[in-house]
Amino acid sequence: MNISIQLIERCLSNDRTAQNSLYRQLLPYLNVVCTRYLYHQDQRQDVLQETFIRIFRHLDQFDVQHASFKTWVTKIAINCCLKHNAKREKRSTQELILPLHESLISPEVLRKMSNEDLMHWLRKMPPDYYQVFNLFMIDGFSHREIAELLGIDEALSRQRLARSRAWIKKKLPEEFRSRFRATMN
Amino acid sequence: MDQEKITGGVPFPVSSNHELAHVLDERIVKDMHYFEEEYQRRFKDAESTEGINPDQLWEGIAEELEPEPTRRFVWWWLLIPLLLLGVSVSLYYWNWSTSIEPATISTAKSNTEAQANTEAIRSIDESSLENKTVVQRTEQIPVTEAHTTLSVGPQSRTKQFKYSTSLVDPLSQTFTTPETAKHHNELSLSEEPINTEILTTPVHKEEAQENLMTTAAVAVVSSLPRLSFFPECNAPEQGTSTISSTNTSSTPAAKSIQLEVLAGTVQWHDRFSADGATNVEASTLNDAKRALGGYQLAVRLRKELPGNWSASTGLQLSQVYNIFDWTRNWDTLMYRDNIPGSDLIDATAERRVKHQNELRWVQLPVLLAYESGGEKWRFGVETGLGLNYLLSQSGRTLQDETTVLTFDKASQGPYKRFFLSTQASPFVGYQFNECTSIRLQGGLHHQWHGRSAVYQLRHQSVLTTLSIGARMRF
Repeated sequence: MNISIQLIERCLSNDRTAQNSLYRQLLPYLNVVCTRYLYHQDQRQDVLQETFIRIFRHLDQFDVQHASFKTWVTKIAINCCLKHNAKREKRSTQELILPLHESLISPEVLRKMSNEDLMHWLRKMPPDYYQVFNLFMIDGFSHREIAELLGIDEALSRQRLARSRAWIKKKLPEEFRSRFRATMN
Repeated sequence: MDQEKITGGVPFPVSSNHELAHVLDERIVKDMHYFEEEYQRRFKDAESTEGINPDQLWEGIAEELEPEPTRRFVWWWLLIPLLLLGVSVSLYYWNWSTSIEPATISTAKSNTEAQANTEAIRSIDESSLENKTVVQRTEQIPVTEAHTTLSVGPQSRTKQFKYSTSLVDPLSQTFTTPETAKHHNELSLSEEPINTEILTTPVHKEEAQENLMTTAAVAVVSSLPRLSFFPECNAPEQGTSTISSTNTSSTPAAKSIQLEVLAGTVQWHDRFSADGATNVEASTLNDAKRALGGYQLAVRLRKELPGNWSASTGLQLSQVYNIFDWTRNWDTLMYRDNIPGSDLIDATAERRVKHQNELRWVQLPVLLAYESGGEKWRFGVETGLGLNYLLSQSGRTLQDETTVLTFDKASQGPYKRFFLSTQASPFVGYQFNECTSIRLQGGLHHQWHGRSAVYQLRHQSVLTTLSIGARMRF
């Protein structure tokens, strides 16, 4: 994804063709971002619509000195997802109960799992840990940025990441780790 | 906290908690669980449109966005030339259809004498040129007729010359203005008898022939087709002693209203000055803004006042383009190669924003002009006030020392909707006739924008203009 400043400036002047072009370039990436952060996938199209509307309406606030354009739009998408998750949690009274016993997932099994299954399995992680895990490990945000995004402090962000990794280690046996590394290499 | 313990016995230069945390984060990335590796491999920078309808999604987004700006100002471009065309056509046909009614001599006695004198002296006997020359100014006034016939020479050698508004004094070979003719007319209409001066002193044949040639030249020039752009001039009517006149009234020309049309170039120079606490340095803004150029179109009505003064008002449309060119340098920490999640490094960042800004406004001027000069060339200066209304503004500017503001609505930009201006504009004009002239006008305008809500600075601007225009009396 390579967004030029000229395209952004044309979007700022409400050039519909330019806006459509920017939308087409960003959609595949932001769709995956929303897939990772949204708990309820039936809301994905609505969340994406809200994300893009926010991007175009606040495009004049994008400042290249603070972050890349990709990082900026990712933050917007994540914010929309978290907001929707919070709304749904408030409405929902059902508590997420983690099963005590899970079958072991070996690296071979892991490689064969589809993206949806992989994500479904990972979502069993407590939501607070899951969000920090995604933000740090996949989207590359620093703990300072995660703290700003989630409205927590930096120390809590580190703690949640540590706990998410501990959760993964607990659910997936360490004994398969070296075998996995060998097969990957 | 024991640094050695944290870093696992490996000496690592950490000078702050921030660096320590960064080291720990690096360790995490390097020491990932196989699941984390697989997850990152699959989802980092992944792209997919699975599970959504892109076209349907875009329709929903486009409905919520602001509509594309429509170019409504096209009609402005059509209005001015249509107005010019309409006024020119109206003036042309109005003047074409107007008949000039000649003045008459009031008394029968004067008519008779005038007739006798006119008939007697309108013929210049070429054969007698060596001996005498008849000079009669008043009867040569042709203004009241489309053409006046001057017979030269004896009957058998008479040449007919037709000429219109100009008088030729055969002796002096100068053109006499209708004003002068009118003066003579007034004399001729007075109690004093019409003087016919007969010179008996010898006249050289060559000189006399020169007079004839001059008269002929005048006739040729006057018979050239009149430029249709410039309407028939409603110059002041003169009284005449011609017998054919029947109308006893004389109609002085109206000097009331003139229509003026101007078009030219304009440059807008912003000037900021500090006034208490500000968001951004005035010098930063002054350096960041640069005038590019623009145009202005004006339609005015001018009313002549006593002396050489005149007052005018009308409407003026202007559009200018400016360049906003701003560069900021600062020391920062940034991701290596600008990749989030990679090493943070010390860097010097530079940000440059270069953008073409646009302003469009309409002005209602109230002007006073002083003009002097000769018959053809006129010079003067015009000064006055203007009430300005901003129609549109768009572009980029600074909101503070580090933030660029993009604006695209007249109500949201750094310029106020209404502002006052003063101007001083010297001009030079060329008078084609009493009714039509062209002018070249420079201008220096000073505009007040008050205290800017965006910049928190006092804002003024200076405009330099150069225009060319036409003035038509009606």
